[in-house]
Amino acid sequence: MDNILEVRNLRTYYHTRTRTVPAVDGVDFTLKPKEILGLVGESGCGKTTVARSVVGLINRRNTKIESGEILFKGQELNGMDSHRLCGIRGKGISMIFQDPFVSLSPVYTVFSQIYEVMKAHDPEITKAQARGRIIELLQNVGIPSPELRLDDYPFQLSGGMQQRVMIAIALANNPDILIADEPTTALDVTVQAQVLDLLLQLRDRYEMAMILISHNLAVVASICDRVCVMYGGVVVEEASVYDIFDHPMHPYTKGLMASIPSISGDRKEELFSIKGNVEVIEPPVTCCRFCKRCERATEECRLSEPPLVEVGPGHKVRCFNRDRED
Amino acid sequence: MTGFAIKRILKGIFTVWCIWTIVFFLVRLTGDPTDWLVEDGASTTYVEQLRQQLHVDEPLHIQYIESLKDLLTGNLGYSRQYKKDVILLYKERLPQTLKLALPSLLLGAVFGVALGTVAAIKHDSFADKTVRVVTVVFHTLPNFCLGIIMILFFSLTLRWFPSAGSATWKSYIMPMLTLASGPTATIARLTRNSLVNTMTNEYIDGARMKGVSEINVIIRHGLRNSLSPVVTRIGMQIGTIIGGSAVVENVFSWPGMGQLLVTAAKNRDFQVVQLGVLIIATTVTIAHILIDLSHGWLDPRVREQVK
Amino acid sequence: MEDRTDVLLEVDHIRKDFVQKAKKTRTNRKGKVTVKAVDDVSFTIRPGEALGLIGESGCGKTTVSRVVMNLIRPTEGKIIFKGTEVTKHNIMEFRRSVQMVFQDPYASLDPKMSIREIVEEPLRVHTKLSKKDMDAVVIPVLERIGLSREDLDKFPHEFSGGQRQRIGIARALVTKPDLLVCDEPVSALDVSIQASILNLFKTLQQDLGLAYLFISHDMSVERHMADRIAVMYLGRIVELAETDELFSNTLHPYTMALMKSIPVPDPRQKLTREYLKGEPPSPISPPSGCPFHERCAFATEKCSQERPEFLDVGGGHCVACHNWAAIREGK
Repeated sequence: MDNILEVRNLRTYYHTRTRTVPAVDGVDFTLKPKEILGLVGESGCGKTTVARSVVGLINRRNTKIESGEILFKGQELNGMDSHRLCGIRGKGISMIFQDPFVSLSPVYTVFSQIYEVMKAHDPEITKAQARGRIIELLQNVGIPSPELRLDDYPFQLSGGMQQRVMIAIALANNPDILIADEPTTALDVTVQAQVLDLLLQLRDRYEMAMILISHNLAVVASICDRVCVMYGGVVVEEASVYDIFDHPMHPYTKGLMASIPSISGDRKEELFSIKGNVEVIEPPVTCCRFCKRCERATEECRLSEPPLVEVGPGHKVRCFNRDRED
Repeated sequence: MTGFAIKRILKGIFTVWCIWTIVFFLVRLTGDPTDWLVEDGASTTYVEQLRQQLHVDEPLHIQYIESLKDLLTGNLGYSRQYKKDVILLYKERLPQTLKLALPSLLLGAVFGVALGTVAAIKHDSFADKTVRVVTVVFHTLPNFCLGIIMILFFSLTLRWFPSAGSATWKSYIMPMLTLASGPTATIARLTRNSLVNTMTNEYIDGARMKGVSEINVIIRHGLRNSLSPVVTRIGMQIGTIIGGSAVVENVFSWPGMGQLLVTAAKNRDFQVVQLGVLIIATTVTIAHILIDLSHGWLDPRVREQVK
Repeated sequence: MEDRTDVLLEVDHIRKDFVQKAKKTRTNRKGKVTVKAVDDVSFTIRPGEALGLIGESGCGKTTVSRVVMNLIRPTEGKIIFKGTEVTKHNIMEFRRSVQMVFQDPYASLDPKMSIREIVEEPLRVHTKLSKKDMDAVVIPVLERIGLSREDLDKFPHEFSGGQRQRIGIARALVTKPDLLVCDEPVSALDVSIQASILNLFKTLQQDLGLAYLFISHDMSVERHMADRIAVMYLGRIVELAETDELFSNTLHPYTMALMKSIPVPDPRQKLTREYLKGEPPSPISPPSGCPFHERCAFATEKCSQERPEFLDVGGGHCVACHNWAAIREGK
């Protein structure tokens, strides 16, 4: 088996009283074992909804997976009954969140939070058996003197330590896939560097694949193998991390890269900025989702949506004018 | 924690003393008790004698100091109206009230939390809306109204339950339901709102991502983190229930402390009123101390603060 | 010291202590500890200059901004604006000349006020203009920041995050200030929006001669915006220099570590393994000597005992490190 996760034509819509927001509108991607895939884009592009749809963590009251296949090791996750899905969450697929302070239950100790995820998948395990494994886990995620941390509550730990505990929970059952949703956004830069390095090391140690969701291109560049750039609920460009940074083809990808102030080289007087704002387009979509903000949009872009076309080995772009130089 | 508890208890004693003092002066503002105790046309010397016996002829501050001394020595006085030592009087009446109040509180807590949880899980559904409407009705309906409606319907029309007294188990049903209605509604609404709020926290998704079943997510993470305000409210309902029992016992002619208090207040039976208020104030204060201590037990962050 | 006439704002040895509740012990009977949120911070801002203030969370940069704005009183030290110390007598004039832009464009605008009311409010406080005259002031400001006359009667919820931040800037501009204090003004925005707001700040600086105190945790944003940068660690400024000088000739080990930690949008430049170990110590019990010595690769015996002075090592490049000379040699 080649791919550990295959997502085909995923559509997740968000319904409000007055309108339908296509948060995810036809996303395809695959994940190979031990690969780190980056989902990158700005707020509202649908990257978090993709991840949450995969593990069924969507608010069913107003959000619905309209269509799509989510194949994890060949099993269809979309529409899977909740009992079987619980067996996959925390064992097959784990997830860590942006802000570790709010994603750890405030009233339980570090020990009981990690024990809970072990117990959920191995009802036989006793606290005494778990203790050794938990200490080892905490060591692996870089928590100094873990025995002393077992009885701490989340609020007694620093932000970096909280995120490490979150990671320990996610790794407790040796998952095949770790979904990391903006794992370093709430952390300081020096701590961010520690956590990113930790994730890379853990990928090798636990031999797992990762989906890294981030708005930060630099974070994606530093640890991902492959990148999907999302805009308006679709993937607009997909390529290996080298191709995407060396030869970005979609005008949105190029715009994003040009708008980051750089840390080296000449200091520019003016940064490139993509005009306009993200707008919600209600389905059915009959134009390129980026056309209103695009500098090279043509009549064709306003009349039909471009398909995601493979332009080189593993490099896909959703743009009619991809070959035009500017 | 012990230091915190001691401090809290001392504050409680101070509160009870304040309430007792206020009540002492309030009941004396209502007038001279001898008016009620003597028959019309009694001789002035007899009235004077009685006033001396009751110590109501002395200046207020002397009376206050004397009463305080009596209170501390456990000499709580004598009921003129019932011709009995007040302690004995309350030994009869208090258990009657507790028999009603405690099950009502339990009923309110259990039903309130259960209804609130169901409403929160099915949030915005028909069940939730029903719970919300029903709780508003019971929240706003005064006890005496509900009591009288129940008597009219269940006792007089259907003849299922007796309308007065405490003779059989059947006599308990209506006063208990009346007394529990308000607390159930309050607790249900609070539990619902608190739980709906808690369930939007990211750690709820964090727990789901561990593979914990939804029911355990709700109980272990949702309810556990919503409980602090609910426990507070349950504790505060003790005051509501005891206050309510004064009304309910009168409506259902229940021979409890509430009924006693109302009659005693009407008849300027000072000692009875004072002890009654003392008992209520102490109970409510103890409830509040327990609430504060329970927060430490429920929430490690509070425990850390009081350390 | 610099020529006084060339200084717009001088922050002179300010210290801000906060008193916190703590556990009562035998040595600490009152159960209180003093946290030095800002400890002996001095800097100057020249007219039209952007001074960047950078540091990680808890380093005291936000406290500095609040002290500069006179929103909280410093425990010690003073704020001197245009040569006069700011006191409660001239605070109104100061508030007119120094305005603030906040981090969160969603929380910093009152949702119940129209754009007109929001932007006019500082004018109502500081001037006695008639309604008509106010429009004459407000409309050009709105147009300058990229909104139009038609937006005046709209409400904040009708605008995107980037546009709201523009409204926040307009509100700060109507009193024609000399200095804007910006506390993380772009960190809540998406990258593409962030770029346009940064461009706006640059244009305003050129066109109006505005000076900035620009607070951020993002080195690349500071590099783009600031003429000079001050780096804060645990309540103190550890290094201050012209932006290009700071980047090409970094002297403080903390600044170096900070720069190495920043990920670069280039997959060939793989993640550094030389990042800082550990996390900043608590300001409640700062380490002895140099506050950074426990995490510092260059630390010597002296660093753990003696607090380094904040020295000008030439050309306005100031650094608080015992080993700055050795570090410069080593380059």
